[in-house]
Amino acid sequence: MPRPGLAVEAIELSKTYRNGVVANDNLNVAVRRGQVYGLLGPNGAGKSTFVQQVMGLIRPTSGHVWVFGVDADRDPERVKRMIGYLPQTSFAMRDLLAEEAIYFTGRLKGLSHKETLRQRDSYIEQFEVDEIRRKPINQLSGGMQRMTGFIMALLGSPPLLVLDEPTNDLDPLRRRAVWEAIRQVVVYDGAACLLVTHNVLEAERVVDRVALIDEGRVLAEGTPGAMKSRLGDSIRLELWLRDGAELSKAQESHLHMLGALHQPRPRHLLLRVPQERVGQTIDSVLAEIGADAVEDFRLATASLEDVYVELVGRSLEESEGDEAAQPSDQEHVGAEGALR
Amino acid sequence: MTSTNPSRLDAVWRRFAHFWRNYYHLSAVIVLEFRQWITMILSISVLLNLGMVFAFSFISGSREPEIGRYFVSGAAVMSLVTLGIMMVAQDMAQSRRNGAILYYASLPISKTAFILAVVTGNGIAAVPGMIITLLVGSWYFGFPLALNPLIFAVVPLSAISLAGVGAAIGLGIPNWRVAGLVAQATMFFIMFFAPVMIPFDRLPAVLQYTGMILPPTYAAQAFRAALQPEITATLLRDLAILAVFGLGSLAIVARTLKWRLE
Repeated sequence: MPRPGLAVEAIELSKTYRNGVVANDNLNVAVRRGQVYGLLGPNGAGKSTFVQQVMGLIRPTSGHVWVFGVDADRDPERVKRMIGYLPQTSFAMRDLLAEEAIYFTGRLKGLSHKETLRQRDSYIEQFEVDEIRRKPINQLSGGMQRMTGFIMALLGSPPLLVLDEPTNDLDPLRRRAVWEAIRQVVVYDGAACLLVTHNVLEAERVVDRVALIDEGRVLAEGTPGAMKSRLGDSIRLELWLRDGAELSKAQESHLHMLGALHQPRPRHLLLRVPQERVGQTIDSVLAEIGADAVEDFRLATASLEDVYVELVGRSLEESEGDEAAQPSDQEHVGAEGALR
Repeated sequence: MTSTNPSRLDAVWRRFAHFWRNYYHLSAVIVLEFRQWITMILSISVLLNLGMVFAFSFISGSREPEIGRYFVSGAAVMSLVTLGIMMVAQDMAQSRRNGAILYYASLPISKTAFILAVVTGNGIAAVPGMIITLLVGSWYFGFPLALNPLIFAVVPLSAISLAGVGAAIGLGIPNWRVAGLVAQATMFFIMFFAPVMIPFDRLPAVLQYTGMILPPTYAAQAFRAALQPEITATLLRDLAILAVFGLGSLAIVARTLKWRLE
C-alpha cells in the first residue's frame, strides 16, 4: 500500500521489455510534496522508462508506482490529471502557432476557455516570451520550443511536474527563470517536481533530493549534501593540458598514486584528493607533467559529478560518449514500439 | 431502485461531455495543423484527382457524360481514400515514431476522441479537393451536378470507414516505413483493382468478391448515388454498410491503440 503524503512512490519497480532489455530493476523512489527530486544518470539509464511508468504509459513488469496514492498502472487517467509533463522532445502540435498549442493543451487538460487564456497570457508575460505567440512551433528556436513546452506543463497548476531536461537549449537568463518558476510552484504551491536531467552542475543547485541511476538501478539516493559527504572532505583538482601534451603511461600511473584519477577527455584530468594534501598534490602534478603542459586548472569541492564518478567508475560525460556511439536499446524501444 | 440512478447518469453525462470536448479540441488541432500546408495538399490532391479522371477517360477513349460521371465520382472518392487511408496511416505511424502520440497520451484525454479527431481532420481536408474535382469534371464531361442531402452522411461515414483502414495500417504495423509502403500499396490496389475507378462488371470475378468486403466499394457506390437527386434503397443500404464498417473499424482501432508505450 502507498504511504500517505507522498507525491510519487515506487516500490520494487522493474521493467523488462519484450526484447529482453532491462530498463529498470527494483527501483525504490519516494518524492514528497514541496520537493524537487532529481533523477540523474546517462541516457539509457532507465530514467525515461521510470517517468513513463509514473504516468501510467508503461506497465511495470513487477512492482508498483503510485502518484498521490493512485496506482499509475490501474488508473492512468486519474494520474495524468495530476501531472504536468514536459517531454524531452515533443512533436505534437508542431504546425500550430505556439499560443494555439498552449491554448489547446490547456483545454485538453480540462481548463475552461477563460482560465486557459488567463494562465497562458500570465505565463507568457512572466517568462517574457511574447515573440512566440504568433509563430508556428516548428519555426521556433530550440530554446523557445522548450519554453512553450514548459508553459504547457505548468498549465492547470498540476500537483506534480514531470520535467525531462527542462533547460536544454536555454540561455542562462531563461534557465534561471525556469528554475525560479519550478521553485515557486514547489515551495509556494506545495507541488512536487520529478526532474530528469544529465546536467549534474545544474541539478545540484535546484534539487532537494537526487537519485543517481545507472543501468536501471538506483545507485545512491539522498540530498545533494549527504551524497557529497560520502566523499568526505575531498577536493577536486581539474587540469586541462595544452594541445599536443598527452600523458605517458608512466605519468598516468604516478598520478593514480596521488588520488582518484579520471580522464573524461584525453587532455582533461580530474583528480580527487583529501583536502589536506591539495598543495602537495599540485606540486607533485606540476613536477610530474611540467607547468608548461598545463593550459588551465581549477580546484573545487566535491560535486554530485564526483559522487557519480565514484559510484559508476566513469564520468557522465564519458557515459554520454558511449551513448552517442551506440544508441541505447531503451530509447529505441520507446521510439519504435511506441503506443500500440 | 435500479431504474433511475442519478449519480450514474451524471457520470455517463460527464464522460460524454469530456469525450465531446476532447474530440472538438483535437479536431481543431488537426485542422489547424493542415493550415500551413493546405495550399500544397489541395493543389496536389486536385491534380492527382483530375489526372486520374483524364487518364481513365483517355484509356476508355470516351468523353460521354455518363462515363465521365463514373470517373469523376470515383476520383472524388479517391481523394477521401488518399486522406483517409494514406494520410491517416502515415500520420499515425509518424506520430508513433516521433513521440507526438506520447504527448497526447500523457494528457488526460480519450483515445477514441483522438482517433475520431484524426479522421475528422483528414476528412475535412479532403472536402475542398472533392468539390473542385466534381466542378471541373462536370464542366469537362458536361454532366449536370445534382446533390442529394444524404451526401452529408455519405462523406463522413466513408471517411470514418476508410480512415479505420488507415489507422489499422498505421498502428498495426510496427515499422513506420513498412506502414507507409502498405498504405501506398493499398491505394494502388483500390485505384486499379476495386470498383472505385473501374466499373464493377469489368473486374474479374475474384476482384468483384474482394471488392464486396472493402469499404471503398460502398463509399464509391454511395457517393455516386448521392450525386443523383433520388434517395434509393441501395443508397440507404450502402450507408448502413458504411456505418457498420466505420463503427467496427473505430472500435477495433480504439482497442488496438492502448495509450501505452510497450
